[in-house]
Amino acid sequence: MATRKKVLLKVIILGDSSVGKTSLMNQYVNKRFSNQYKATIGADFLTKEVVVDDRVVTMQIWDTAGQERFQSLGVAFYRGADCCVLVFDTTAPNTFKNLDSWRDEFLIQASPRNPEHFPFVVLGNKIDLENRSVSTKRAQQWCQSKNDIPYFETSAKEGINVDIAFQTIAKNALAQETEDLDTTSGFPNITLNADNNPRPSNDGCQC
Amino acid sequence: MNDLPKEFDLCVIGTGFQESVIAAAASRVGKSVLHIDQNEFYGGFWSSYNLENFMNHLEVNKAEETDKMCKIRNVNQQWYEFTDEIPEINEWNKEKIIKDSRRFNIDLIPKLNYCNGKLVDLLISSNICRYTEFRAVDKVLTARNGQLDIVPGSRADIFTKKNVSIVEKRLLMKFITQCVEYKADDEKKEETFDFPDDGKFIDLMRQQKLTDNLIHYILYSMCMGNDETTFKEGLDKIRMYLTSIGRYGNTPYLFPMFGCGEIPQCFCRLCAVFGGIYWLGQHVSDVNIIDSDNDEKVVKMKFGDEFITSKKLVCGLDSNLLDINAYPTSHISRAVFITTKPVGGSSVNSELDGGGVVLLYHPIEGSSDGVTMIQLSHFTSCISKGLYLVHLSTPFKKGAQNDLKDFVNTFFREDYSSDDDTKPTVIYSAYFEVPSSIKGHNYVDSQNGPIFYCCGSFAELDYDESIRQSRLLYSKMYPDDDFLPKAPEPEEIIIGDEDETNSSVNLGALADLVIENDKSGDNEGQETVNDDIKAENEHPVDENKDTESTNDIEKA
Repeated sequence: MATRKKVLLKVIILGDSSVGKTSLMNQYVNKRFSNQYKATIGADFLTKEVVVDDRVVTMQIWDTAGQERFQSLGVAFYRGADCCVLVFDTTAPNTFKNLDSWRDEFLIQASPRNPEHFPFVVLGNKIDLENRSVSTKRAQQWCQSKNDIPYFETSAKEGINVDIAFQTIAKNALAQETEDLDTTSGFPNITLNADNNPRPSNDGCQC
Repeated sequence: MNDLPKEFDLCVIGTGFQESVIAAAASRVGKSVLHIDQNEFYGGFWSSYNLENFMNHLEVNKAEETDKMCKIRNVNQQWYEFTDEIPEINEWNKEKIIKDSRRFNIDLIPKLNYCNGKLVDLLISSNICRYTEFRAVDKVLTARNGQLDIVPGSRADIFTKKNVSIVEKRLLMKFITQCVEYKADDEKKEETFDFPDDGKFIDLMRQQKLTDNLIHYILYSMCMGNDETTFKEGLDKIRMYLTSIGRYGNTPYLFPMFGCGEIPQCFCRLCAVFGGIYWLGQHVSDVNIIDSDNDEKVVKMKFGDEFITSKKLVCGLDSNLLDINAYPTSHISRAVFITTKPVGGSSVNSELDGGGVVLLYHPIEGSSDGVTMIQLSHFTSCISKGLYLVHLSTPFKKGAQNDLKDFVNTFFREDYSSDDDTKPTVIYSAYFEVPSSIKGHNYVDSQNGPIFYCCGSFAELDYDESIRQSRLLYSKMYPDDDFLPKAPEPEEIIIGDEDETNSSVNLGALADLVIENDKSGDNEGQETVNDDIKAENEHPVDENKDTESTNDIEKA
């Protein structure tokens, strides 16, 4: 069996501003929720270790950093995603309507090898609020029409369905990642970090 | 225009490398930043394009005679003419390649980075490195009399090299050791070199009795130099080479996965994480410098239907606010080829079908410049599997085609011959000239704001001069602020309730800002709670009272 290039899964969260992308991520990873924190400042990406089918994998969940606000997410954000989470606000119909364009945008920008079978997960957030205006049926219908995207109704505030949703996200991302071993070259990609210190200069003559 | 604030500390136009570095650095220390680009994508000249966008971009954006703006010029694109006899080459033809357009990431300005160079250092010290991945250059080639050869990288490489004799190996090791240990002010110079800084490096090597073989490897390849290279230049280059090698790979260079267009976007993401606002496909007009209420010069400009003001404005080389005649600019002659075989054939490509990234530097006879070739395979995610993307660059002299023709004739062919293993057939070629800034010119001193202009790229392999210029410009703009201090790890940023703020990391001036429900666009009558920016506490860093009034900051 081929050695896996990584057990790091990149998950990106897309959706309109203020649907709760950062809150969902924060609730899942830090088990915290802040009513006051809405637009994305300082939210970058969070990592969490999850067990999927007895395997420990590291899930890296990427927030939009607010760049979605004026449709200015660069292509770099989409690179190498193993799963794409589409979030809408169940109390704001526009955010649901925009799922189509977020999905299209992802498929164009990320250009996955197998767009028909790329794993998406849809989250209808803020079900704790009273003024719900997108019905479960409507959301489910949309998801079914897009190759049966798994759908969860969540509340980042109350922590409802957040864990199970992300567990599904991890599982589907892992399935995607095992299919996509095509580009391995024997040389892993290099992530720079402070641990890769340069050799002391007096050692530089080793070559 | 929506709920966009009307006043900023800094507005940046253009998302090229230097603009993005400045935007990130300012945002990082708490300045409010609006960063826009007239294009719908990031990077401007520093962007990577898929094949179709690349072909279109060259045609649509090339300069007219009368253009005062900085643009690409002298574009010439050609496809190999497939015929009934040769309908495809190694199973590829124009149609198939264009169908794979999205697998391409083609740079207008391709660059490599020394593993121990300024960009790598900056990415690590600022923690921006987490936004991208690299691939180590797989091999460095050099050519003598048209014959390609692999430059030995590691000690093992040198000792297994058949065309380097034992005596040469000893000489080489001694010379390299001396280069590393040399200190200009060292009193014991006789143990290393006693040689004037402006003496020629080649003369030093001859003095040290290095053979022509070794001089070739060291001077023309490791140093990317020529017979005019001075001792000091040569020494700096060889040291950078030696300290970079082995840090990440078997060669001293890195190339970003998905192309160099990723690099500016990494800086933009940091800017956004610290609160910078991004809006692509936008431009400003009616730009005027006015006096603000407290007698400061600020920039007022029309953005959409409304006016915004910014304490400072930074313009990129490709913004239409820069009159190119007033800004010293040169050009880089470029060629982009698509081939089905790697350069050099089987003699230098025994493993990995030509490797991921290959560098070849070749001096131009009678010139102090050389041609830099970067060849990319699908391992960089810049091209389809089975194809090779070849970038050629050299400082502009007479024109891209003219400047590069000797190199091209030596290593490529225009026609197809199944017998020729060494010279790949060029299936697609694009020649063009891309604007660049002039090394050694002082771009910063004469700028006094509040409008500042960024440099373009420089005719250098890496980003060192661009980073140096970025630091200079930033320190001119914000002399009292740090330049890209280390950003906290994502885990250190606690997004919590106000009673937990003690545990949160201070993100410059933005740490205590709480933004309530900013909704973009209309929301079918959904009530927007509050569009204003509120602060829980008094602003800890920014003492300018006027920002408080503009953003409606309230004390909790």
